[in-house]
Amino acid sequence: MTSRIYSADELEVCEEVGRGGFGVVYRGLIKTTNEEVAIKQIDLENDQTDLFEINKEISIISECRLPQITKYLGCFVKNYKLWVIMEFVNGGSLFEILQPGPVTDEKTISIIAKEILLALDYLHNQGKIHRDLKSQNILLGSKGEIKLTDFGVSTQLSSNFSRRNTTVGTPYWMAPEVILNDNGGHNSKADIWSLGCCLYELFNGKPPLQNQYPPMKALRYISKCTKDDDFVTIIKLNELEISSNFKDFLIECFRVDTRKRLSANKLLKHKFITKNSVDSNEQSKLIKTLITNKHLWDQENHVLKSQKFYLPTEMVQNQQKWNLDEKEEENTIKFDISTMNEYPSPKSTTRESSISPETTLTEKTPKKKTKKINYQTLQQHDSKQKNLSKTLKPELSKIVNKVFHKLDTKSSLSTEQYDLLVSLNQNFLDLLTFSNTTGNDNSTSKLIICQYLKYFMKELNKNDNDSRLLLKKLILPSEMKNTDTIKIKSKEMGPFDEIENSLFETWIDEMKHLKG
Amino acid sequence: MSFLFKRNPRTPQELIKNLNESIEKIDLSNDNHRKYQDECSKYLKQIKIILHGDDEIEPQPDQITLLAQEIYQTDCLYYLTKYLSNLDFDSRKDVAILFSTLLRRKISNKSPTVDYLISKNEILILLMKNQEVQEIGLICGSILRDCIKFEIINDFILNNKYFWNYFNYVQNEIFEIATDSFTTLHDLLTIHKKLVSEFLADNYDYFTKNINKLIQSKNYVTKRQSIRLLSEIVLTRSNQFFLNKYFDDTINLKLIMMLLSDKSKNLQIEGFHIFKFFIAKPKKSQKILDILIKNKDNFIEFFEKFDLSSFNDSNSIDEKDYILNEIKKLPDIERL
Repeated sequence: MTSRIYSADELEVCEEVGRGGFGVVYRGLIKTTNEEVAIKQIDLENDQTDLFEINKEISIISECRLPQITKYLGCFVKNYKLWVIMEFVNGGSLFEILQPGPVTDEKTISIIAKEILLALDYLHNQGKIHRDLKSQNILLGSKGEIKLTDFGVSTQLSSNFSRRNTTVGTPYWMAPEVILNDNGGHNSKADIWSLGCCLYELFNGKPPLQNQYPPMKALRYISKCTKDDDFVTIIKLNELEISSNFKDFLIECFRVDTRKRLSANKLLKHKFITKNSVDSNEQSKLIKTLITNKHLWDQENHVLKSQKFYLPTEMVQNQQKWNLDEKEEENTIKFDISTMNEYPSPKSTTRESSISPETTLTEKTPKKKTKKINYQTLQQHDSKQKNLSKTLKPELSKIVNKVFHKLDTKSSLSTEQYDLLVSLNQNFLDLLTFSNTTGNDNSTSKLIICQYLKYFMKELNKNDNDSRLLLKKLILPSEMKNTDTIKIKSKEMGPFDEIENSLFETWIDEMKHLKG
Repeated sequence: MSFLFKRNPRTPQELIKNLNESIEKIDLSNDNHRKYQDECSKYLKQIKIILHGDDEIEPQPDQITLLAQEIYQTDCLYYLTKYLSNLDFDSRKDVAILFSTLLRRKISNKSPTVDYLISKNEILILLMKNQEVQEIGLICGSILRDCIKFEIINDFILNNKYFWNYFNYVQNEIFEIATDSFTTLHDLLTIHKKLVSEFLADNYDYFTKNINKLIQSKNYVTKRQSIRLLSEIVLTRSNQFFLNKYFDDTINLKLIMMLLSDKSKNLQIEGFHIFKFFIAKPKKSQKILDILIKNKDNFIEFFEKFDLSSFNDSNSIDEKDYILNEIKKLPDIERL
């Protein structure tokens, strides 16, 4: 792989593959070699960006060279942005891999565990702690590689091997001592706990406690663990149908006393790891199966494929193949995984996306007053707005994905149009939030996107002039034409994917017009 | 079970002797260099276990003493520094850990390693010079920052001619070399307050010239970091002598005014936090006063629009109001 990248001129920036508080991650290509890279663009003018924290992160990643850690390829400043170039891992994260369902094969779990342990052993030996190990930070490659990534919060214990004392991490994967911040902070053993959570997550689909409790409550439960088997008891580890080796491995990870919790080096010698070890061929086969399953699932659920546009022919071929081979065994379908890409953004998934500590805290602290909602059925379940948008989000996501898919297959989109649509869909989902009602408590708050569409339809139906009529004609599907306003209104929560489908077309025209 | 893994049959003396021998044999142009690299890597790992222990072995104080003495006597740290880039990637980090651990070792309130480094100061000079070398710059930086926690070493470095190279290093095209050098420069100029205040007083002209050059850099990060450093120096009470001179100098005022009009909001804010001292200084020089008065209307217009609200810092907003008031109190320009 190329040794170092010095400037933006050496790169071609492709589609967005991820997004976070720091900025945006793109897939990119090195012009001279056509190698894929991940480009993390950090906005340095952003108020939340701490230049010194970033410097620290970069010095840590630049000092790591291990197959199990994403390789650092350089970084540079362009205008007000810092570009960090990393190796691109094309199979997506463990979190995404789990979307179709849990991984029940213990051999696969053991292989993943081993690779992460190798990475942790390397880091810990150098006095580094990852501090935010979770399924989103473990990437899979189509050659069977497992790589640890995202050192956003990792710490270098440069001066000595003492402890850190800041709380960072993500609730469900956090060790009790990290939450409590006791013993003057935490050490490398915190990563071992998180590893245990990841493995549990692999087998169960969710990290411990996530199915039972919201983040803050889970935090409380974890922090209450004082005896060594407390956590093992509350997560009912004994009821899991797993081998005794796997169970014992998890018990070692979940020891509350950090001195008794085994180090990465020792866990590498644990039976669960040694008994399941396989050669690299076998490993890549098992990992590939996971990636394949995920791609099939994406296809069935019409999940947006951001890379699709850049490799149109191969993708079309694959699509046809999938349609034909639908009933065949998954493993018999051979397709080029290297043409696949990561999920566009975890936001659009139906699963709860990654919860960073900050968002969790703001979500949970009752900053905003809960307002009454006028949806009677849902009100009975829970009056919290969050739950409503949570219920609606998967459905809306399904709709916009379907609309997008339809549009995409029926018309040949330009890159620009494609990108605009992706962001339009994202905006739709992001706007499934409540407006801040300014009036008194009796007023009901509205879901912005729904309200928006409602107003849009109303406006459209005002037969003001000829162009308005024409617009209406272009937008409304034939079966809805000539219907009066009231009927459309009553339908607005109904099958509006048809309407939206047409809406997109006009909006794209509008956007193009604005751009041109 | 630990007897099964007996991996350290040698005495610390032998270990250091072997390390010194192997490290000199590494010749990167020779095909067999991997063999010696691996040997060094192995010895450095064993040294780390003597110093820190591992899962089975607790560190033994008498072994550590023997090891340290041998390291000083054979100039092992010098060879490790000199041939640092010949070691393999991960072994270099073990060298940094070795330095760090030895530095913290104290015998009756004195650090023998510090005394050694001062007497064998070639090591410190090598560390400074190698800060800009791509493969080992960051390691040298981290070792050096561990060293300058001790005032006597900080003193040596500030008064060495190679110190001034740092103003070039921070502009290195390799981002992490540049920022790492900046961290070192920052530490050198902020940790030991009394030492720094004397240094700045003695070297006002040369230092100001150099830092002002950085503030005018085209690179956003260089610019922002150097203003931040200057702010921190200015905010340190003990740097009184430097402050008096700095805020009387019209060149400095001009540069800071340019920052206020920069496109970047962050640079404007950083600039403001220096500018406020020009206004707040009780006895302003006539030249400074002339510039301020000449620009009075511009300043008023600027500060009335200057929006700090997005930074959620009520202190800065109060300060801005205070500065605006002070500017309004300035005499109006005399028109002819």
